[in-house]
Amino acid sequence: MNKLFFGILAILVAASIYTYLSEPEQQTGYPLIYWNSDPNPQRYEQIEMFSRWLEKTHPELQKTPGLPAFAVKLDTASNQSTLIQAVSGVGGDLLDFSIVPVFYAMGIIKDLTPYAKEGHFGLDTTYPGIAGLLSSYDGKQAGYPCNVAVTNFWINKKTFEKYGVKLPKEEITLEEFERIGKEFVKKANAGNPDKKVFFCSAASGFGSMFNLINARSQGMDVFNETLTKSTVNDPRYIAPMKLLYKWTYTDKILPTAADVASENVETGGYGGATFTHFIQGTYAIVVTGRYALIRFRELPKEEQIPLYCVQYPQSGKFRNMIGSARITSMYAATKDPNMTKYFFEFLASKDYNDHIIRGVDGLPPNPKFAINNPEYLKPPEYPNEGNVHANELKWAMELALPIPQTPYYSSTGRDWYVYALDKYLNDRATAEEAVKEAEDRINMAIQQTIRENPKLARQYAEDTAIQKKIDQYKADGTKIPAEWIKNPYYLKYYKSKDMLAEPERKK
Amino acid sequence: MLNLKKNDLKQASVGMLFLLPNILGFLVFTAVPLVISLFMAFTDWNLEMHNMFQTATVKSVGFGNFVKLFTDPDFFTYLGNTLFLMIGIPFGVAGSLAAAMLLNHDFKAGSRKLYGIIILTIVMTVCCMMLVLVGMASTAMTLLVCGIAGAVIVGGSVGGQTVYRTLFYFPSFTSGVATYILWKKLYSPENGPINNILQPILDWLTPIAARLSPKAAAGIAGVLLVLMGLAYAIAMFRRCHRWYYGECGTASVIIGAVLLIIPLLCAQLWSGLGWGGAFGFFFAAAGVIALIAMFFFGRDYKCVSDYGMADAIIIDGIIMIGLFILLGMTNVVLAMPAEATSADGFVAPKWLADYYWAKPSIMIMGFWGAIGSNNMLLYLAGLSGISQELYEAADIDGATPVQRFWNVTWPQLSNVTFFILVMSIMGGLQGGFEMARVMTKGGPAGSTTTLAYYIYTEGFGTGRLGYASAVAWTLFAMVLCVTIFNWKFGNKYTND
Repeated sequence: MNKLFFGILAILVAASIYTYLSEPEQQTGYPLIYWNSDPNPQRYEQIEMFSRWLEKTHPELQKTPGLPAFAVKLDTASNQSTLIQAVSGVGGDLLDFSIVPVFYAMGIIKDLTPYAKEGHFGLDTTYPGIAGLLSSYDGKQAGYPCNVAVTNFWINKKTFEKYGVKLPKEEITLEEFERIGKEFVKKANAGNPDKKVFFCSAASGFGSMFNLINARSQGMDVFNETLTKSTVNDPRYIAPMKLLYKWTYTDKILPTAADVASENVETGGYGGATFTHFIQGTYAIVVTGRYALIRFRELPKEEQIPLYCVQYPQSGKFRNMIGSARITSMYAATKDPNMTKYFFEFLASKDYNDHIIRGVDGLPPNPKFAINNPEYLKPPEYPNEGNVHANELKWAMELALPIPQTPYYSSTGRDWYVYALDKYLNDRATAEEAVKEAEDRINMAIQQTIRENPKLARQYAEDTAIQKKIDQYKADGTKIPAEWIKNPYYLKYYKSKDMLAEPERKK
Repeated sequence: MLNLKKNDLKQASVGMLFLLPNILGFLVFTAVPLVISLFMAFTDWNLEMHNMFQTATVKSVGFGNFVKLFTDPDFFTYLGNTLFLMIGIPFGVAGSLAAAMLLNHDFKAGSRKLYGIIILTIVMTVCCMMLVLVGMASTAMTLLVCGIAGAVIVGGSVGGQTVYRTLFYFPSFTSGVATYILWKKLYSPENGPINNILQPILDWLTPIAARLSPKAAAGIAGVLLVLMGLAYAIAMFRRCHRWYYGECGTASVIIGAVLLIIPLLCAQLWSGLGWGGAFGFFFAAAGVIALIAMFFFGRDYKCVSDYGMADAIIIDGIIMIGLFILLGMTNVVLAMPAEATSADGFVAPKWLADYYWAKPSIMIMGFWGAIGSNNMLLYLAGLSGISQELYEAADIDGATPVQRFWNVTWPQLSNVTFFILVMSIMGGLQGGFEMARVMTKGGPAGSTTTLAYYIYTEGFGTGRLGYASAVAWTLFAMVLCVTIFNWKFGNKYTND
């Protein structure tokens, strides 16, 4: 019995040693840093490119001839796993998120500000509209984008031509969108009682983006100027919600949730069935960004789609778009920050940005490599891609704003606004009831955060005091000091309305 | 006092060493997290503030999380969703019993039954082919389902019991996620095989229903409501009858009666007929009065209070669902003329994409899973344990197959039924996570968010581990109540 026991013990010990020795670090002979990202095939190319770039730009780091100083290894965990690993102390050295400030506040992300200037990857090297996504609530740089997107309405010109519908202008209004949409579905579904050709796709998140952009176009955001209170219970939110309902269920220019559910999402390659519908012409418009070209360029040359893009239709005069990004951050418990920092330098480099430009994985993170670059603006092999490159870049520079976020309400859990919209579209509440519930719920969540977090409670007290002053200034028609405003949307909106008092310059 | 020799101690320590990896695994991955989660339930542990990178300390909030939970409307909504999905349990139990009884027969007996099955197979295959020919199989999935159905019937006819037992047990050893994805495709509103079959039938019904006047619809709805009342009266009479003859205890009759009365009380709220509420109230009140009178006058044949509990829950539970269906049908009939004359006519349900259909869709899927589950195996084992002498005695007494079932099979299986019921309720309380995660993400508008999914979103989405633990322990308390119920009433009163 003893022999058996010790035999099994010996096997287990040997297996443990083998497992240790088979770890990548032990096998490669040089250090590795891990990057928690998505399993996009382009990531592997980017990792290989990073090794070449490091060797070329920082030869001094190399310790052993013939071996790289260190390398990056991809760890394709889901967002939730990434978060759980990170708070437990076993996250990758580089973490990808779509929103950084909330994770910075949790302490799992390192401040990149000390490295940014020296590595030339500061906030000034990327798009102004997404700076809010990359920095902490107190303005520290907490990440750098891998790629950027400003989703807009992509039109398949062939589908429009097929049904004899004229292309809209780039700055499309709600009325124009509805008129063309109705005309399109009428012509496209003539003689087809099932009405299965839609004017525009409506993938997950479309509704909340559409409402946000429209409310913003009329001067209203989800949160107030100091991010201390939700303000969605407002007619400027209700109107687009009602319109969305009408377009979906009455005019049928947008697919219903059931139509979207019917799409065969597990097949169809990158972008799923929505892109397939767009290619086939069952959706005339798809709401997407430049990354969609990864799929569209796979089509044979003769089947390439003639593209044209327009902005989100919006009612107000303050034209705006939503900027989003895949943001890489440095894990607070990274093995070696001095090694990891080079990856951010790489993300801002020409090599990486050229790769994004060629690979069409969104907009390049550093726009200077795209501006006035003919390879980006008009790729010679793809003349069918029309204005999509130039427009997305232009809108990213001029119109993009980040999605709203506040330190007092974490939308990593349930987004009550999306929930409210869902309730309304499922006839569980009127639009008025839905936005009221959303506002109440968000404000309740804010109050809960304040009760639970004394550090934030102090900051909240200061911010609410400032908010009172802002409200007073607005009522009086006085210009508001820019430093009081924490919401990036209001900073830009008030500036456009000349309502901001810029800080006095030191003499 | 235990007198162990040196050799015994040595052997015991070697044994313990062998067990150590398992015990360590249990301690590290089960026991310790369990204790920690109990501790967490009384704290304000929030991943945003309390993780290895933050200096804030976890504070005790006493019963704060539990107080919050019982004042949180979401908790009750999700508890309601969980309980709603559990309504299907009696059907699942009945389905698994039916499957077990079916599989207890040998289809390969070489008798006329085999020919019957072969003929049925041919008829069904022809039907499937006709469906395809008339264009009701527009997708590959429909063809696939029809093909599988044909293969099952043919395989069963040729291979007999073994083939069917294996096939019926399929849902149990198939990965949950794979089956959920398959069901998601079956439920696809536009391309799914279910709607591909259902929609042509609804299209055929639309002009018929359009000819129905609102008065005629109200008349049909009235008949359905009366049928509901009659079904209730018969079930109540059956329950009282069993009580009087000592086949059912007082506690059991009360539970059965409560289950039967619930749909009638719901008629107050949901009936579309003007007199539906009063009708329901009248029947419910009559039932209560009859029960009180019955208890007042007493009975000749006594039995213990909880005797026949499983029968009461299962049978009256199934009847309750039947009554709900009749109540729902009255409203459907009332709405039919308007719906049929609308621009779209009758439209097949949107299943998982529709707030009102999402829960029933998941329930139907659960019912499918329950039929071929371990419950079926337990029933099969139970059936094989019933003495043939009892059936022979019943045959000599001239019992019909139905009488054989109600007087021999069903009472003999009561302990198995009770165990299955209790386990199903416990499973139901803890269930719904995988389905919600894979199929609906808890939507539309939270309609398929169960307590298990809520714990996950609160814990790992919002990061409020303290609150999520409180919900988990509340769920545990509910499961514990059911377990205590099982300890007290399980494995008793089986007829020998």
